[in-house]
Amino acid sequence: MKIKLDPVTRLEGHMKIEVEVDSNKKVTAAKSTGNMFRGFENILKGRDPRDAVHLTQRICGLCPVSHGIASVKALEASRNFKPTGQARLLRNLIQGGNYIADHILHFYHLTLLDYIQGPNRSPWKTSYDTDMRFSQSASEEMFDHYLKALEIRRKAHEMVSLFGGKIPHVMSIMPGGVTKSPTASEISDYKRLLGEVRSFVDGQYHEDVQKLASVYKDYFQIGEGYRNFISFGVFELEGSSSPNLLYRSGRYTDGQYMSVEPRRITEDIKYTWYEGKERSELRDDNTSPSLNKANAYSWIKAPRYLDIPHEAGPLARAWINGDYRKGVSVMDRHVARMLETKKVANALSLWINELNAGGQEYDSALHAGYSTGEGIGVTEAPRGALVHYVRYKSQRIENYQVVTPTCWNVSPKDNNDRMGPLEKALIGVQIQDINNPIELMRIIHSYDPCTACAVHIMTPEGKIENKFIVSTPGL
Amino acid sequence: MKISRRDFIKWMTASATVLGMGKVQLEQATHVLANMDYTPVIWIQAAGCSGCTISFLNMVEKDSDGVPTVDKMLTEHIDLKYHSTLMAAAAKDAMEQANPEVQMIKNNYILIVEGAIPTAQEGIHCIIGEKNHQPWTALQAVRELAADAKHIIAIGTCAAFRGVAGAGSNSTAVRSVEEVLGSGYKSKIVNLPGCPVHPYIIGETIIKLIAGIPVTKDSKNRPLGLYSEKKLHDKVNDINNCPLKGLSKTSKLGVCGNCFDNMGCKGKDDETRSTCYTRYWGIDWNNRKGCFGTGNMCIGCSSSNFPFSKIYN
Repeated sequence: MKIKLDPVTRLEGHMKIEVEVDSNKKVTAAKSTGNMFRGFENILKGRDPRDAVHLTQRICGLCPVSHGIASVKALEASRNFKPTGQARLLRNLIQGGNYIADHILHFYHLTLLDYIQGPNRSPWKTSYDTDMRFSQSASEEMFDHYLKALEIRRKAHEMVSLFGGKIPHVMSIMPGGVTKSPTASEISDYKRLLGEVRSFVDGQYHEDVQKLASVYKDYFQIGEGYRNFISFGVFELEGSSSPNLLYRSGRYTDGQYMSVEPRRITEDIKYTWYEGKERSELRDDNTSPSLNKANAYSWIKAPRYLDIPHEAGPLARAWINGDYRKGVSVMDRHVARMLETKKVANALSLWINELNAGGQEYDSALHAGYSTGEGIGVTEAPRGALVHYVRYKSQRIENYQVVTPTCWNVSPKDNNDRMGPLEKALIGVQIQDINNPIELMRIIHSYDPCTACAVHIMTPEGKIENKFIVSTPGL
Repeated sequence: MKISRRDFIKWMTASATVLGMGKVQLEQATHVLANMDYTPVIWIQAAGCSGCTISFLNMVEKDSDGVPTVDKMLTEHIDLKYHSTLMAAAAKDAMEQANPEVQMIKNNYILIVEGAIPTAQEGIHCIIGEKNHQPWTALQAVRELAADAKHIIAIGTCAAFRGVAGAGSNSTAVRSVEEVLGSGYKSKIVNLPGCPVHPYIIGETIIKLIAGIPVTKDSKNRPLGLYSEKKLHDKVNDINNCPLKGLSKTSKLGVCGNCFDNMGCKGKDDETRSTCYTRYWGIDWNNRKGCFGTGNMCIGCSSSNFPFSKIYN
């Protein structure tokens, strides 16, 4: 029997999940579909490389800062440029504020309604009450926190807007550093807001995740996936010449900790609505949409690292850094995301004290001179590993590639018929009520999919033979 | 009927008890709700980035204009029937929420469209969900839902003018809401460009439409007042639209307080009608400078020409 969830709601973008269940209502097969194609390649190709920082932020309104940073890092790498320590601090303060806003949004507004029943009206009502375990008063209390969390995530975004001008789509992060010169009063506003946000994160958010984890303990055993992780590292620390990162890069594959190099990423298209080369490297992608392809079921390509599927996100970062290695499951993802929010909030409170008022942390030399070059920029979006690749000639983009975290997590099967991490995590799940497969929603949401991000950026051409520059040394 | 937010939530949660609430009771609760004065809203996301949804969440309170924060908007003013990112219901349940017939809200709801609408190959590049065992495209959704909507808000530059979604060769043939619906819908449509649209602009527009206050629009269906009658670079009533105008001109980014005229500032584009310098991107209304304080120039994100063929000179 088949169960189709279309649309899967409470995530960014358009997604469909289809599973097959056996007579015992256990999932035996799963298909994850990205349901939107935007063709970003045509938007970027031929444009001025400096436009990419603005345009690529528009890939995703939830994690624009990470796209902006990956984009400037790719261009800076192509010029062998390193921003100042203060510029890196400012970027961290902007990106970190967005992490907090995004993680709070994910837990309270995208996830919680899988576990508690909200008020009986739109947008919170549902026609079912399957496996709702909290008492009415506990649900009410949690829902109060849902509302409080709306205010707190907005304040985290105000932190971002102090140094980014606005959010979504910040204005101050440019190749060359950060154009914003922070004032003393903005720094003190940031601290005040952070204080408030942090007390919510350390108190309420922590407590609510623990409460959820204790009532839904069984979800520590559900939704494991491959137990392989990938991260490119994020939050460069000030002062060091080769960046020291708050979250280092690396991978955990079949029980081994190893390093990563973006050039080893490949993307498969066997089950996607694309035709062309079956397997592409990051920089030589050459595919085009093909709607009538047999067996295809997604607009999302299947990124693999040395042939192997990996999970990206807060749990991957926590695992690779040794912050959290208790287990791999739906609930472990929520716990890791919460612990990360606390860690980032704490780091922000240290970084804001290191920031100098009135500093000019922008080198205008990077506003010109894009004659010929290519570069890779890596960072981590709140939901996982992010890579941008750019190649330009005579101030025009020739090739731009992006591999987003959701591509890693919700990819379809690859050329070897190996499922994507989310698909794998759905296999074997016991469903209580076929008409309301809440278990599937819980597993899907634990990955925090963002399918606008997952819409692959591709260019219908080109190989590069010359040197390949990576933004973060030591990868 | 006015009840405080807290009472409302207590009452609502109680009525939706997880423990064995029968169908009859549910219907009673629904009936009571129907008599409360909430305006139904159906929010469809087409080809976009959800940035305008985040802007909606970032709405800030301004008592003097009655513009609320998002929690108050949701609990006191609108009945957000369908919004894929925010709604609890999924799949078939969710699709019913987007059905005006089933919801009994025909001719009574506000349709909000975010993102531009892919029209190539019958709109197959963006699927809202499955309806009657068929993929329901954003193109179909917008056409069908527009017919019975009381008002239509095209939120963000993509929905209003194609925006980033329609840049370059536009391989999926995205169109704006107005282009998809045709001139017959002009009077129903309010365009709120901005990438993303400013939070306050969303709040004020929804509140006005709900209250039945007429929204005066310019030739491109932007509400006057929220959008300027002249471009950012011009003076309106002898006052500079742009706070940086008239200051010394710079040829470098990174300097706040100079005019970026020489660098390609898109405040000079005739369709950049933004009033963002009078708005705030912060919740306590402190961060008044927005983009103008960042040492970068205006990129014209609310212009119908955004993202232009080139941003910087």
